[in-house]
Amino acid sequence: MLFNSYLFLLVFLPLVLAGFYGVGHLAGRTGGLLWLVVASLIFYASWELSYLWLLLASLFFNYFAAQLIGKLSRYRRLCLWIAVLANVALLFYFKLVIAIFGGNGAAFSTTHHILIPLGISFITFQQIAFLVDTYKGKLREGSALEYVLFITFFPQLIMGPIVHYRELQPQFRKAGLFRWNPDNFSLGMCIFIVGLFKKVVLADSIAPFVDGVYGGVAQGESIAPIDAWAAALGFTLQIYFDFSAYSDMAIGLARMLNINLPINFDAPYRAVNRFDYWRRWHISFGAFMRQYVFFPLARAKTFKVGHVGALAVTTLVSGFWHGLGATFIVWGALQSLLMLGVHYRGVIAGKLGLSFRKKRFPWFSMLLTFLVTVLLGVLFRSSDLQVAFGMYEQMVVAVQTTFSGDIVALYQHIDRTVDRWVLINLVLMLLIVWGMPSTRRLFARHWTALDQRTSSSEKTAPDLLPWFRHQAFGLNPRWAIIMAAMLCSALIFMSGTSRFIYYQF
Amino acid sequence: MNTYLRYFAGSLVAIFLLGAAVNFSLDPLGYFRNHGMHPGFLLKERVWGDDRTVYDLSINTYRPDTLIAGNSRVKRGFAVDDRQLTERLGVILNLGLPGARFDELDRYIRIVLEDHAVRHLVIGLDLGQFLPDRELVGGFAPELWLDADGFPIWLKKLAVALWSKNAFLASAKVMLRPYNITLNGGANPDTMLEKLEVSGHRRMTRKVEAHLARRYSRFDQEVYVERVAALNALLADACLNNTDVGLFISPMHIRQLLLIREVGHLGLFFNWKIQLADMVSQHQKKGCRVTLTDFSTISSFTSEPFPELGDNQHRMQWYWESSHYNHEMGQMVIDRLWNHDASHDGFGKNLTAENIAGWLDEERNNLNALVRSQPMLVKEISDLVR
Repeated sequence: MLFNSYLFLLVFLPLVLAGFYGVGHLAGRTGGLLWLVVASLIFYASWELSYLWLLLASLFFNYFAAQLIGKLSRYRRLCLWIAVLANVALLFYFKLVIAIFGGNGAAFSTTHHILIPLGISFITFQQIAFLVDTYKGKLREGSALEYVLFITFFPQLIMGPIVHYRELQPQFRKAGLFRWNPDNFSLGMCIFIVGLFKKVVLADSIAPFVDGVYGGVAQGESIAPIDAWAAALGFTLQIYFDFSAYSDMAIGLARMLNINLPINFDAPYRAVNRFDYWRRWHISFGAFMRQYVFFPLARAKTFKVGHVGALAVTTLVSGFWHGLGATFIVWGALQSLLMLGVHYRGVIAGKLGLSFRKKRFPWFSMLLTFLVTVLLGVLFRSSDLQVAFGMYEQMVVAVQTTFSGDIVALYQHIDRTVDRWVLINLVLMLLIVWGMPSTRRLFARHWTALDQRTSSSEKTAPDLLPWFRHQAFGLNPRWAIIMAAMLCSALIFMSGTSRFIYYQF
Repeated sequence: MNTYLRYFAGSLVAIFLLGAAVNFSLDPLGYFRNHGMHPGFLLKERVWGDDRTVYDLSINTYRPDTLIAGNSRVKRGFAVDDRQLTERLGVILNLGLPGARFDELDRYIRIVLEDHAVRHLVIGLDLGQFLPDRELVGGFAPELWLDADGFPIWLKKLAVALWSKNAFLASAKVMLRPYNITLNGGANPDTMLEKLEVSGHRRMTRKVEAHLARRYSRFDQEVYVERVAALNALLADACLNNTDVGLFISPMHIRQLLLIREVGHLGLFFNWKIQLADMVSQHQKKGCRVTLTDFSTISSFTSEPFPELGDNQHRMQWYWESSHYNHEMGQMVIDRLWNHDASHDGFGKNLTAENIAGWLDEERNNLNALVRSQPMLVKEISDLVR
């Protein structure tokens, strides 16, 4: 069941909301939480019933492993390692399945059959975090029901944000959880609508073009050089609007249920370097990697890898998390090199005899970071390295044509080969990305988002459309009309068959 | 409910009613609300969908003397703005609807026939129009109360009755279009040439054949019988309207014939021809002016060799790719349909109930000879299907 389907919007969600407030009011906290667990399991089983048993087995195993870790006085560390390795092995097994039988192409097609249990990567990470936090004694005692709901909570079950038990469990216990709060509901609904609009109107409109170009290259067709650039840019924008849409919808849905989820995106394409980018893109994943991979490695006493080694390993693991294909590994390795480059840019500049000043040209830094993201996106999206090279080859040809100086010929080439609606779409999406406020900023007046980042993002480039910067959502008639119009547009455009890209991860 | 939610609900209702009002004023007769098609908004035909709904609106403003109908082969094969052609046939409407099944084609032809006294009706037929369309996604059972998208069917009907995306988008397209543009002026040679420059004939044909191999391999008796009956009824109605009907079987390249053979539907293909010939003969006996001409034969035209893979320079004389013939071929088809061409090389054979058996025997022999003489071609098609 997709968030962007009529079945979810018109049947499942109203029933869940009515049941949540109704059962919570009549049967108390346990009844209300149980209702949410049942709804979440139905939501998960609606994809593939057989995966439900796997999810339940995994929940059972991890809960009892955590109980054991909490109660044992000896062999706690061994127990933790066994449980963590079991989780990693399960994840590795399914990544191997998709690497062998699916390839990246299957992962990125928004209509392709899903090969592995949905959200397995997200579920595994949450459970590992739970085990580690239990080992470190960071968690308060909780019930099995709370644990099951923490993992299966349907808004974030499939694609995150990755949450910690310590963030959700206190909210399950807070007073007034089942009390109808119109402001919370309105706010949640509007955040959800923004996400739905991003997915249905923006991401899905460019997806057929991107799939067409990458599919064409994979089948050995020659594509126009400018199409390669348009598709590379298109994918960069598609994946942002697709993934951030899901996060917005998850946050909105949870808010409708009086639960606050952490933000996952904070205008990543306005980042001024790779570190800044990872502080803004898939924030909960970045936070997890820092907390559970980077810091333990960097501070390890038994095997010293240092910050550089820890960074390299962390970025490589990020690549593996996405898949075991060669493209993901190269993508991870390049991320690692680039981050090291940014980290040592002062030293490198010094050795070259250049003076280096941070944030001198924020627009230039932002565009450069964005360009790198577009180029790396080609690797990320391609079904294999051959396709990626095919794309890069055509992109180089386009650059050569541009620098040959024949601007008229270039314009005629663009006019002839690229669909003008695709161009309009791309320009529009870029304006939104660089000119409009992010979801967090748009709703800041009424909503303080949970934020898992340890440090705030660096200052970004000036806004492309300054007027929009000051536009903030308010619970007033103007925004009611805007949101109603956005919902109507989304309902008109909704196809009901397009799933989210990250479902396969 | 707080004030904001009241405003929100009010806005939703207002937008919905406004949309319904605009929809009814744009599409009072409900063309689009009933046709359930999308015009390929944003990404145009190149990626998905087509703009046939635009033609729907324009058909009423068009007064054709000749209607040439069929699927993309007709669209790509006939230049209806060709002056030479229009001098002979009057105003021509090219109703080439890409991917059209016969039931869909039937509906559109009837829209035109109901409103206009069409003198000549030419229908380009091929087996694909009589086979089922794409498989339904996810094994959806239509008798359920939810549709394939999980949308309650009764609610969908209600929403479509009041709100129609197709109406808005198609009407907007028509309104935005320059007034004097030629309606569906056949194939756009510039677009096809651009495709050729990038891919070449061979790549283009392989792509189309991969798609058609799937389409030709489907067969559903019920669907087939229904569509043949629809053609029969259409011929009867055209006869009542005093319209000359020229049915022709598309001049497909021999690669297509081998494709049909490879998916195991050669027998079906020949039986289909027999049924068409019988049907036409019956109507002729009733005094109707209807003919059936077969261009799907093995001839020097349909055997035109394809350039090698990677050769993007060579231009074929008769075909864009094996499924789509070009304007030169379309011109020849028109010439032979109206007997303006005097050559008697068997390309464009007039079929009747009397000569069909002999004709098919000849075709079978020719095909067997082709299979023997071109093993590499047969293997290539066989690999493609597999």
